[in-house]
Amino acid sequence: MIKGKSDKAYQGVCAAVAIIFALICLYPLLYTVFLSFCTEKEWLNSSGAIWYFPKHPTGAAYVKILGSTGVVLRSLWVSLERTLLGTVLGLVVNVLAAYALSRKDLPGKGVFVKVMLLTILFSGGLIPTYLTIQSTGLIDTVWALVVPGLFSAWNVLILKQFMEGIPRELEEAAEVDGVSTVGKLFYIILPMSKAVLSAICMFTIVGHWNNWFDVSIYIKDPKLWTLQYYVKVNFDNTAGLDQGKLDFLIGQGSAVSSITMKMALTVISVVPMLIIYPFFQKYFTQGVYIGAVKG
Amino acid sequence: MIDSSTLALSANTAPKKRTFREKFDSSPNILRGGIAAACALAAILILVFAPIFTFGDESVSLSVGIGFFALLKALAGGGAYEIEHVEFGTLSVIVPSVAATLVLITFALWLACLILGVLSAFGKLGGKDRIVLASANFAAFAWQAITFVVLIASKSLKAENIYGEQTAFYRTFSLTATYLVCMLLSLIAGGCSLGVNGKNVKNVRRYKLMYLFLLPAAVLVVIYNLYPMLLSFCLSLKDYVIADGIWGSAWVGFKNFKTIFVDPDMLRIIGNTILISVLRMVISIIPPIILAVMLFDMGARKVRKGIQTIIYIPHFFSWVVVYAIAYAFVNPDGLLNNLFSGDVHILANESAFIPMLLITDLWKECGWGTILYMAALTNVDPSLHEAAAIDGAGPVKRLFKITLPSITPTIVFTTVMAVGNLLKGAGYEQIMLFGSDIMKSAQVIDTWVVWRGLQRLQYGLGAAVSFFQSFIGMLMVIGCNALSKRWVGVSLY
Repeated sequence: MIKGKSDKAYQGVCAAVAIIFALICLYPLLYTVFLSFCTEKEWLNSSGAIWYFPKHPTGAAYVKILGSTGVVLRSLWVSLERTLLGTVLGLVVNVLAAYALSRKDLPGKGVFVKVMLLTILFSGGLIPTYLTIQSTGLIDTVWALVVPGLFSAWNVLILKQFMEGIPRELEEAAEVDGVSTVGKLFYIILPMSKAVLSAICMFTIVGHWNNWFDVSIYIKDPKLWTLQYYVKVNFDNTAGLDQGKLDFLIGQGSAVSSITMKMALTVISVVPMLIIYPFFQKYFTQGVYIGAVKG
Repeated sequence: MIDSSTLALSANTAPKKRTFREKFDSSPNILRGGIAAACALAAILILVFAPIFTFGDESVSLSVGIGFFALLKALAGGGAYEIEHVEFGTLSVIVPSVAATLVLITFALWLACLILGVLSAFGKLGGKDRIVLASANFAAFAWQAITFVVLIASKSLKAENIYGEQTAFYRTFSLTATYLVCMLLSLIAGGCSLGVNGKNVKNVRRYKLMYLFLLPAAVLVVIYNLYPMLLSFCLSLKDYVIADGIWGSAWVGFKNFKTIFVDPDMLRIIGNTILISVLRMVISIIPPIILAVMLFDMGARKVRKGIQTIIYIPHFFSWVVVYAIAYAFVNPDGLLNNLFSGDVHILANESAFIPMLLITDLWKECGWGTILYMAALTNVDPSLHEAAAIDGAGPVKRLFKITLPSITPTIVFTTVMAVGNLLKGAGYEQIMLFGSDIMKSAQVIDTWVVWRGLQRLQYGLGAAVSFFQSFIGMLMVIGCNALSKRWVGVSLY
């Protein structure tokens, strides 16, 4: 490719903008980490202007949060529990449905697909859903966070479309060899749709881990708060419940300020996402349409 | 078409005993027709007499005979009837009100469907019998739906038993429920008569296991998707009282909708929703396009990969975390407040609310938003750029002549879909977090449903708002999807 002067200048501008944007994305994260290691003295002296990693870092906030109380560990466990249950069960339900719907001549398939489209286009809304969950007896159990979201029309449609693209001949060859319906699913369909399955898995995990809104609606019992909701409560000015607040911990003569505690808690709540981020990364391309269209 | 699986199976199956199904299929027409007709008749009878079985404490022998007329009379707008007056053949006594006429026509349609069904079972309708039967059933369904809505709107559906009493159980399962069940059955009957033919029946048997696989999804859809939709429709037409339950509460027609639309607050909230949605739409489309184009044109693949890794990260954080990070900067003692030497609490400042939403949204989603455009850009043939460069086209010219046109379909699609989502696109999670200090001026439709509907137990109003939002939203998405399909050939489904 021929490169002129204007080309180079243009490329330079583009690179500069992209790098600046990347720094804008990164800095707030680092800033949060800086604050979480900040001592109260340094925080007060700098009047909030901690631009860089603190000079005398202290891990007191982390020790305090993870060590002296079971609240955070318990909510971490609830978060893990809902993510695990929601992802595994959801995958089972959606893969089975997609497998069935990927048969081209399954009678009634058209009706089911149309109903699924309807669920995408029209939702019952918050209150009817709340009443349904209430009348199925799930309020104040971890299942309220799992069961209503198990079936996902989007995921089934995506999986179905993918499975329909798997060559028929493969399955027919397996049938001749006497492989059963279930066998076909495990030996042919699932291995071939590994990429799309991983992408769906990724979005389900992220969705479950980050969801705090359903906890605020369906869960009244602080023992079942997820980590995200626990973080939210700690930032709330208006939350009536004091059991979850960290302020009373800070009152016991700790060396860090409340903002440091809050930031440490925030950092703890994103660490799992950051840990699995590299594993997800190669599935982003598969996730393009899922994530972009679903919104 | 030869089906290989059947071939494979039939090769090694020994002749075995004929199942009932096979016997049924090979039996003469008359017998089959008779069985089908009997089943249809039984079904219709059960339907007609359905309200009767809701009298738990009455003797069945008394009730069975009068079910049909009780239904008619109750629908006709009559309230209290004395049981002696109701006999067979008292049809003439019924006041021919509008409601009664509607109901009578409905029954006539059912009857027509029954007769057609019998004729079709005997093979008297020729080759088109399936279509005729299906359309008759669908017509019956449409008619019932219309009458149902008319009856509800005119409040002619009495929630009383034939004695004029409003018992909770009767209210739960009475005419409304019967109507809904009948509608559903008409729909199913129509669908089945459309779908039933020899090949399909064979396939149903072949795919038995597949239906088992579909079962969990189907159950979940019915319970957690379809039932709330039904509730949403019914609740929005009811004055919900907790003590009476969902089905026990009285129908009030369109009162909830009236309450909403004369409320000046509500109009402000809808306006607010659309304003925030439009702003977010602009933010979520234009910056990612610019960023994607720049990323793509910057060359230096390795640096680009690194940048992409970084800018996708914020998408994986929840709004709570984003709020926490924003709080780190703008809390009263924080960096920004000290920088501008103001003593203002930005998060409690109304005029800073919308900019705050937009900035955080930009930070969280802009990087991730590029992924779709990057995919479209990498699909462009690189030789196109080279040829243009040889012909003397500068980078700017190439940007407008090659790069942008190549992602136009994607841009049109995302824009059109965002327009379709105007009523829902305000991002309630973000607003509930960032607006928690200034609740009043930060309301959008979704947060209003939580605060007013759910927390103050005004379920009827909340459901009406949701229904309105969802229904208009659905029409808009369907319309926009059709537009996108027509303009650029990309559609949602």
